[in-house]
Amino acid sequence: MLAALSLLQLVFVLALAPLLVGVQRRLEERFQSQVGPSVFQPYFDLAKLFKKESLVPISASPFFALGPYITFAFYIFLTLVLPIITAFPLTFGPVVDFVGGGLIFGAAATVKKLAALDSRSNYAHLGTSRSASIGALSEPIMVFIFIMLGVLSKTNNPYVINNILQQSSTWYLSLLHWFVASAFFMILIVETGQLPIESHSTAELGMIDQSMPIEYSGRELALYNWGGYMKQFILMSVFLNVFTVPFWVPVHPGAAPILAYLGIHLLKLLVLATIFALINTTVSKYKLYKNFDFLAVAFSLAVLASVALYATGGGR
Amino acid sequence: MLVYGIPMIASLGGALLSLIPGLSFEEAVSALAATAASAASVALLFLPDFSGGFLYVDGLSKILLLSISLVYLATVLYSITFLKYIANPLFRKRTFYFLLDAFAFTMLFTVSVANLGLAWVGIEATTVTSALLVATENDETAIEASWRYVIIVSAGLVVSLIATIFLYRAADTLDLPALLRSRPTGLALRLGLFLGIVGYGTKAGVFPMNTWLPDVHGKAPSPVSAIFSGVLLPVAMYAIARLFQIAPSSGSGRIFGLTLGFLSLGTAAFLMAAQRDYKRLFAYSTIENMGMILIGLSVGGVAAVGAMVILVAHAFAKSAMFFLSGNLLSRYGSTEIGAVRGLRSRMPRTGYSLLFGSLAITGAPPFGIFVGEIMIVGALFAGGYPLLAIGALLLLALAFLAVNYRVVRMVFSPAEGGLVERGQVGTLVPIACLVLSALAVLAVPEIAHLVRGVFGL
Amino acid sequence: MSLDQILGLLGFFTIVLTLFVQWQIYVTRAAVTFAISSLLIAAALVWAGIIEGEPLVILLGGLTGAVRGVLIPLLVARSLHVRPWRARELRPAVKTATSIIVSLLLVLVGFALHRFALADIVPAANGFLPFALFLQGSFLIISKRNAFLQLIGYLVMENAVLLLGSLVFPGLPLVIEAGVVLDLLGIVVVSQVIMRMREASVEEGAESFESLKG
Repeated sequence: MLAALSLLQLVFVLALAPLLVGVQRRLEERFQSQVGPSVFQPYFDLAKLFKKESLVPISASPFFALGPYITFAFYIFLTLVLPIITAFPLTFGPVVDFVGGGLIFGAAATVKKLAALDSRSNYAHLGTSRSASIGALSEPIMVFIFIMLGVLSKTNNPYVINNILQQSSTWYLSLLHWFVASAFFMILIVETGQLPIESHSTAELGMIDQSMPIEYSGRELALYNWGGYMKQFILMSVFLNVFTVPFWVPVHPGAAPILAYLGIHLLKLLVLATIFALINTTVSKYKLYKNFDFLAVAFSLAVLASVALYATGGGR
Repeated sequence: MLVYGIPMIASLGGALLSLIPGLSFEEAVSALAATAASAASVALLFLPDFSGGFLYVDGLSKILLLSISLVYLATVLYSITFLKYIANPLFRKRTFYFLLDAFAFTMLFTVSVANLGLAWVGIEATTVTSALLVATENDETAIEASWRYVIIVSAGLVVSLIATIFLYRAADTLDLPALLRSRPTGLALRLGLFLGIVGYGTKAGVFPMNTWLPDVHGKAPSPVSAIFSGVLLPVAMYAIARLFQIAPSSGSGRIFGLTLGFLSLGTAAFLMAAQRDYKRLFAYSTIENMGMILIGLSVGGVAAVGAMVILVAHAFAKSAMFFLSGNLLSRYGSTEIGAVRGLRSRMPRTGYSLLFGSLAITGAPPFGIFVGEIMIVGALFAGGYPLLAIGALLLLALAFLAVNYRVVRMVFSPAEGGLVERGQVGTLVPIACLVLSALAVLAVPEIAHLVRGVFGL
Repeated sequence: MSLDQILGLLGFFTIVLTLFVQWQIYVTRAAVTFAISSLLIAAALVWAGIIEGEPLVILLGGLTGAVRGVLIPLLVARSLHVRPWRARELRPAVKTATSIIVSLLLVLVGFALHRFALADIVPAANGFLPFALFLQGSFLIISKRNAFLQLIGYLVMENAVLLLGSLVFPGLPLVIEAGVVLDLLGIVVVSQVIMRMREASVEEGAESFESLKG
């Protein structure tokens, strides 16, 4: 049963990640009174890329071509261990805890950076250095957030955190929870590349994550992009299921609730995608050095969460 | 009871009457108000202490009321002839006198009122009324100095508001007679004392919060500098004195005050040696004297009486020095020490007054500040702190040298040119103030008698 | 919700809003953020007055809200409107990201101070909030060059003292509180005049004041 559910979760994420991105892009265009691409456009793009030829720079090592496969594998692994459609651990659930999950995200990002450096392209190096400086600040904040959640639930298990937040309204309404949720929202914006950190246009002056895969083509690029869509899907699911809207996630195994939840989860994600589309059409992109102010505020919110906990007498 | 409030009411009346448009008798009205306040303050010296309802006027208050009123009178008289030297004033004469009267009112209010919270309100109000006075000259640096004054002093007074809240917590009342009866103790009170010294010390020119002082005194017009140095800083010291009076046995508070006093004295003495601007030089001399007063108040007893003597003598002597510096500025056009030469031949009355004044403010015998300093240093020796006493003497000697060397150079250096002395009022007022400062020596027993209740003698 | 809970929520919100003021470049937005936090404090005062049934406290809350929450930001915004290009802090004394972190550290210092030294005097668990806010306000004054932002820093300090005096402790006598508010108004009005002159004569940054050194 659990194995079947794991497979279902994997297929769910693989199949619907591009759809989410397509919906968000179309919504952004719609908000600007334009028609916009079809919501299935990312699928068509992926199919096209799989059929194309892969070119590799002469100066790159074999690691360059391997990079996207490794990161794709990391994201598949993460799909199997995080609470996306169920609130009880699936087959691979006990393999990593929350901090481990954060570290795997970091590992995937590192592999991407190393492969980008390997391509010896100027734009890739530019993107890598910027991404590394921002990552150097956002990764510790993520780990801090996960630690604070661990203090809340006395464990590091994201499934248990979801259960606690579903059932205990004191914790759900506590200052600790909302500070941590706001901090994670800001980190989510950074990690998934939304405005005001990064825009979808390819203005090279401001590119951070977009310039790293600039030398990829064909199948590698398809896997790279698909991995990116999955990362966004997983992070948004974690944000919804563990931080903000942990409700309706099935706590006990059962075919009907889980199938019903698939639809509910898609709806939750669509609401979040709409919020992101709204943000992307209203704010403007930060100048690069102002990203650090943004991260400083996210860090402050995370630290204030710990202060809130100790001020209200918890954590003894 | 009304008699005790006459100084306040007189200055407030002067302020309001100055505002009346059309008739331009603001100078006369202000002078009249100041005279009434001074006369009432002198009369109050002979009346018994009063403690009832809104007012609390004991020996300490009477001394301060007298100093404030007389310096206020001197400032008004001096301003009458000085204001025409300001080339491009920020506001009209009427507003100047209104602000000056209101400023005097807030100070007189602070030292007569019975509730410490209202005293805080009064001191904060002095900032409000005096800020624009500092910027009268309407040039860039004056406005910048005025802004620094407002923000630094207001921030400091917020600290003393916290101190007031702690005091209220410790004693459940802010009424001065009730506080003196109940003598509260405890952590809240000690913290209130510390924070009060820091907060009111910002206004009183205590290190390290006195960064605004040299700027303001350098840039404000001379009558305003005179009333600042002469009585505004002592009013802030009055607040600290009241705090020490409420908590006479707080050892840590006294040590803290002693430390800050010595630091003020030390930094002022050393920085005086590097000054090239005579108004800033006198400003640092004020910081030095305020440091001595804080040391005296912290040690208590005879030293506190010495601090009061310094306070009175300083009020008159320092305001005289600033009036004289106004004369210098109006004739030489520059505040640089190097630009002022040959006062002996060009402005003899001003020059010799300057010489006597600088001897007075740096503590040369037989002027009042000398007596006060001897009392404080003697108390330090008697209390078993010979090192501190010697340190204080050395720093005072350094300050003495720094100021007097420059003043002597200003007065006795050779110069060409004819007599450029200012008119009667310009020199009469400072000379009168210097005479009062000298007379303060004769008043020492009287001062001791007045404050014996306050400092537990 | 009990007064303690309201105070806790409010205090944290005020701290976060002050962090946002520290973040801001545009002065009008900083003034609006400050106005929101002042209105929240005033609302809490009014609520506390209703709970305890003291009409004077309600009056004080209303006065505070009107002066700090509405009047003062309006004055600041109106002064700015005359010279909108002045309304940015482009070169603060401490860089923005660093200043946000320092502000956060000051909150932690305030917390430690309360926990280890002042817990006897201010027994409420949330009693560190006024001290944290006070430190944040003083840092705002230090870290900004623009006079309006320094004024907002001073007003944040006064808000902290209001929190301490009215909500954490048994309140100060009303006369004194009213006097404090009126003084505040006086300071702001005087600052307006000075700032108007300052903007007219000098650009941001006071390094050119040679005569004010030493």
